[in-house]
Amino acid sequence: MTRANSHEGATTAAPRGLMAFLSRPITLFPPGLPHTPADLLSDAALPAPISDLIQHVTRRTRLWPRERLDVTRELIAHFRDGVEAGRAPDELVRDFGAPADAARLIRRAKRRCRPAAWRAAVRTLQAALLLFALIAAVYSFAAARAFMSHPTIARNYLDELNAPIVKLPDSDRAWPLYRAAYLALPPLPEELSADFPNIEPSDPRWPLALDYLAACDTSLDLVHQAARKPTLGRALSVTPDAELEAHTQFLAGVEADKAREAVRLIMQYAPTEPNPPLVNLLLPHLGQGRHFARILALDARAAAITNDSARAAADLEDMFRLAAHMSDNAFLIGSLVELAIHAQARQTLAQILNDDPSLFADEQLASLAHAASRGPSHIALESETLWLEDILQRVYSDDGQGDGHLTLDGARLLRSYLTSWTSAAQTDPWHGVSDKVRDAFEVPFDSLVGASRKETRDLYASMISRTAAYASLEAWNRPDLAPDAAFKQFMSQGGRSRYTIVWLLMPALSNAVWSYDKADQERDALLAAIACELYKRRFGEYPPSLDALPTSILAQSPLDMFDGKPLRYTLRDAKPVIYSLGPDRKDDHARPFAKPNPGGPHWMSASQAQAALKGPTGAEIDGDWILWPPEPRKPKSTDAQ
Amino acid sequence: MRIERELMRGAGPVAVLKLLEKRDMYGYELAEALASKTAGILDMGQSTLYPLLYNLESKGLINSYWQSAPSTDRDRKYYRLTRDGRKRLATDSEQWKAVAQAMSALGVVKLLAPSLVQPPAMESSIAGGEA
Repeated sequence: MTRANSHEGATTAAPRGLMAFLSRPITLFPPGLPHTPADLLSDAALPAPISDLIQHVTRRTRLWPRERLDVTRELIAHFRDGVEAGRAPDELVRDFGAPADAARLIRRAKRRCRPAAWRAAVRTLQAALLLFALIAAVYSFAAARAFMSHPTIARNYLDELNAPIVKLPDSDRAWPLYRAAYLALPPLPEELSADFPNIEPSDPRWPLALDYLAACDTSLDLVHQAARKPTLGRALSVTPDAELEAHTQFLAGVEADKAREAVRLIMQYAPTEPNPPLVNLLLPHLGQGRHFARILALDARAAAITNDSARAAADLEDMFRLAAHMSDNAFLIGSLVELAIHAQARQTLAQILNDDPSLFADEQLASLAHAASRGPSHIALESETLWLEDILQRVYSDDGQGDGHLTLDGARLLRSYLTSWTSAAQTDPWHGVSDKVRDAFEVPFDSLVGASRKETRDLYASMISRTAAYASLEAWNRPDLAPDAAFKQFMSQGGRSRYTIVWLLMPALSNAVWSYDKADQERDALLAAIACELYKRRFGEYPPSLDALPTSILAQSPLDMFDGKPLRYTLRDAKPVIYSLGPDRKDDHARPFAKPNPGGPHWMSASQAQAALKGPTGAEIDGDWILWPPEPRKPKSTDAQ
Repeated sequence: MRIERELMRGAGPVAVLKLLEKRDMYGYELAEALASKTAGILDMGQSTLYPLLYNLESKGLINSYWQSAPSTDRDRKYYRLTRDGRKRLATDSEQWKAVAQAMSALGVVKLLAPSLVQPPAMESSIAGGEA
């Protein structure tokens, strides 16, 4: 018979399963038992070499006290058996094996016996530590890379852009005259500002508008002179022109003291570095050009009313020339201003021609048609990449192979752009976090997830080249989706955080392309209308069709941007109507859109139009796009009186 | 003859399970049995045996209990095969049999080599321990 010991789960009948579990004592050290391995060894009175070995091994296991106690007991029992079997202590010690190995293996094995929850917690902790270490390593790498490298600002794009401009002879430059014209401008009366220059002779404010025109006489003379110069000739700059700024304050009606203070502040915060960022470029001539165009448009209509065809024609022709000056630097923004001024000139000419078809002599009409046909120039994307290249050299490091990574200086610059240019800063997950914290954590993170210099350039260049290819196709031959449709989707689905610079700089390319399409269409229709007028003067009536126009009057029939066929033409009340089918590609026999869009119809593919016809904006495209005659002018604004 | 560690790693557990198949045994007893029954070939030092036992215990193949032996009135930790341990032993035995047959077929070993046959007297001396 054997006697069961009650401690450490022992029972007489060696219980198994649930009984064994339930019979286990819950106290760490049952009463009456030694509490430490040393106590056990002391009680065991084993030979010193064995006792030392056991103590050494159990201590090195670094197990929990209870586990060490258990191992100690078992080893004591083991060696006692050996001693009782008549074996020498030294032999037993030798046979035991290396203590260090034993301790290591026992520790490993005993730990496997620990509760599953403990092992899971240890695994989780180990995984967390490993993950933390991994993150720390990656962070350290990214932080070191971002913090220890600096952008190399190698090129001065401003100087490069200005190099050909500064070589121009002064006699070819329009800018000094435009500048003088601006400085000679009187303030626009507040009563006219709301709808200037769309003021009709029937409007009670018409005399006030004529007074303003008279006050602009000097400016207008200078604008006419400037418009006839071959080039704008304005050197690009990031430094405000104090005199122009002061005059802007004067035109805005700011009191003299406040105006002086405003100008002082503007000049104080003006960039002074020799190679300033291109994005700080000031293009005041664009706004000034638009204002000159409005004055010229009003003057042309005022001249037409007094049958001063020469003055009206000069105003209109110079509007077309002024428009061309706006795109001299081949920036898209300048091209869009050119587009707007060209559109205003066309619309003014169309209204005058429609109101008084006989006002202009044949030669004047031909000359006006010639001036209108010179523009607008093609969409300018060439200089757009300069904006990007300049930002790249300020944000990224340069590995000499066209690539690089985000730098701390660059990240700060980008942050300032995001804050000042967009509302994105409000939804930025780092919004409200101090700059120091952002520097420490956001910058390394962005340097890891953000696109590299080369990736950024490649995406931008790809979008520009694909848009250029898209723009080069005839509108009716273009694919349903513009190149930037997928780009916009990509950006909205997280691409923005990776390609922040591209997102910041990429213009609405397809909108620009379609704006050019519409401008070309309206210009072609205007030229056809002028040709019809000249035909009538020669043959006594309007042509039965556009095909009937001799090539000496109109070189070729203009095509409809929506289907590539000649623009539709009909006579209504013996007067010509020139129209496009519009987005629905259906001939509604010159029935205008039920609810026309003020800027003309939006471009859409045939399938998109079919879907749109059934939607809430269907009325905007249900019908034809009437290109001639111009829309009747709106009645005068009562608010403005 | 010294057995390569990898080979021992595969053979040791199944040898211990086999020894525990018939009756519960304590550590020293197992060590002696492994040495004597295998003519010293599977004689593993205690520094290996005890971790092996703890590993088998952690896998649920054996469990342990403390019990006093009447002859010495001393506590010993006995190891006992569990149900899972028996299943594992059956599986491992089949595999070892297949390996042995394969090795035999290749002429690497001869089954029932005389040197591996346990002398009956030695077996009975160990088996007659405290159980």
